[in-house]
Amino acid sequence: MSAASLAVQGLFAGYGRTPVLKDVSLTVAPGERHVVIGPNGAGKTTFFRALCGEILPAAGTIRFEGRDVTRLDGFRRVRAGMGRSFQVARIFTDMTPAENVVVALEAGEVSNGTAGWRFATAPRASLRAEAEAILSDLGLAGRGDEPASILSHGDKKRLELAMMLALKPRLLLLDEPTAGMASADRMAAVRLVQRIVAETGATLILTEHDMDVVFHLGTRISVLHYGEIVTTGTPEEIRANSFVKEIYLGRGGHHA
Amino acid sequence: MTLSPAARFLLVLAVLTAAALLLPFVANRGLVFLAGVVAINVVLGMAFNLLFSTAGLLSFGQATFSATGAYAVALLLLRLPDIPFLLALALAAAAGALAAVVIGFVALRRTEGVYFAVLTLAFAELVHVVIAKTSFFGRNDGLTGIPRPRLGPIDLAQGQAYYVFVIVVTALLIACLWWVTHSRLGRSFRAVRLDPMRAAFLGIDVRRRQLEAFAISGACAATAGGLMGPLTSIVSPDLAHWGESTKPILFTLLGGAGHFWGPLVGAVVFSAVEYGTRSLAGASDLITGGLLLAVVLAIPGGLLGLAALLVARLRPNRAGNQPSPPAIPVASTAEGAAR
Repeated sequence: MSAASLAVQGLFAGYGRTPVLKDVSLTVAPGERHVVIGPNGAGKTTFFRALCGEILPAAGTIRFEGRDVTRLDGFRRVRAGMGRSFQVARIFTDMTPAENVVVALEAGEVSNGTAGWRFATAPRASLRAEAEAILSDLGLAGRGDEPASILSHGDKKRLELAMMLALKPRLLLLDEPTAGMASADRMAAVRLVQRIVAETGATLILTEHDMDVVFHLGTRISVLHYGEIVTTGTPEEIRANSFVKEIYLGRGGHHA
Repeated sequence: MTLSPAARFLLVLAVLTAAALLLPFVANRGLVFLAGVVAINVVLGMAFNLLFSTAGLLSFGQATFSATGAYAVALLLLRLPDIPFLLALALAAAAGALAAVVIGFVALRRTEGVYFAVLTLAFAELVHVVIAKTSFFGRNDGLTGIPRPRLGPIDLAQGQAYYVFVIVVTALLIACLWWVTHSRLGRSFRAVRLDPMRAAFLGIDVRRRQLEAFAISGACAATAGGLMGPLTSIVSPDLAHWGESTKPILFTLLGGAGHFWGPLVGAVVFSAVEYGTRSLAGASDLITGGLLLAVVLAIPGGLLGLAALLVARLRPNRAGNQPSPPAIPVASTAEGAAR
């Protein structure tokens, strides 16, 4: 079990007295690109929130690289090496794109104790250079002094990705990375995520609605239905699974 | 004209400090005394604004911290007359930070919406009542006869020495607050204000950052409050009254919350209006109240926000952006479309 990047055992979670997840277990191997799919209301978002520490589960355990993180706050999971993006990109809109990444880099330094004392108010030159490098790598270079609020939807998502990557996470949790994108942008986003995973060797867990994205990105797929994982398998197995077709693919023919 | 932000800040601070230090040469003792009070109020306003505009916390109990500092210094000077004054001020700052950490520890469990403001107000009232009912703090009469201390060989009771001391200490406190606002710590405060959830998922300990902001604000307010006792020679429970907590808020809103110097402009303008209308008994409060209403309703950015707007209007096209629509030359629209 300790070889797994993420191991979820018997997870129950919900909001107040409303249970959403029932006995969810899932093991994600290092380097895996695991997609969680399911119809609306199946509990994808709740599962995602429980994984990243936004809500605490009622029962069950979550282990990250063998370490029990079930009771850890979200920021401590991030410090442990889990990165997280939001369905609607969350960035610091009043700051410039570069400042956004610098704040992430500085947070990373503070987290791993390499920050040290600094009297000068401006960010370290090395951090500014690193921020520029990350931004240009994601095609966001040269945005200058404009606030991040004026970025397009897709650029905001890429900026969020840049902030996440600044922390060099070993596990990426992406909540619907292509939500609200035009189909051309979706495939570009998929290629970007593929490239990042290939370059960083990070493990990937994402929720996704778009079946093109799911089958392009996923190396393993889990299907969530009424708060339970009904099946886990390779993309081919999921495609062939008649129950999955019935509950998910069949119903939403427009996804194809 | 390309000064770094720190150099520009130091320049403004030096000019303001010099102006304040020159005041005794042109103004009478009454005005100089008032200027000392205003200087202290400026720090109280800026300490509030660190919480409000940088860390995103609306504290309604700032009087607790200024009163903590005022009483700490007063008690130390009265009971331990030989204590070095700078040590007394340092202890006042520590007391303010401690009070902020204790109150913040409870109040920060509810940062969303109005709860935090109400909790800080409740604590402030609690402190006010405790001070007013405890003999140790002199009950309703407060503590009187607070001496102006010595500072090594300098007797601060002589002439304008204490006023000079107040101006120097407030300038140092303002510099501290500027540094915090613009440092790495300040950037993480801003991140927490803009989006606490995003900040947390960058590994920032949001609760701890908020508590740190609260402690820094409390320490600065307490140090400024500590200057008050020897200036007026009396500290009373009125210093902890909720009305004192609203003052830093008013200064900040009047001057412009989005600007570092906003609370300074607010405190100076507010005091000037109050001073100018002091002979109009009753009408004075009406005028200051009306001014506040007008500013908050008509110019939400405060006086500095208005000034920034006017400067931008007077210098159109300086950076090639935001001119009024008819002023856009055709070429620049084409350029914009090409981008």
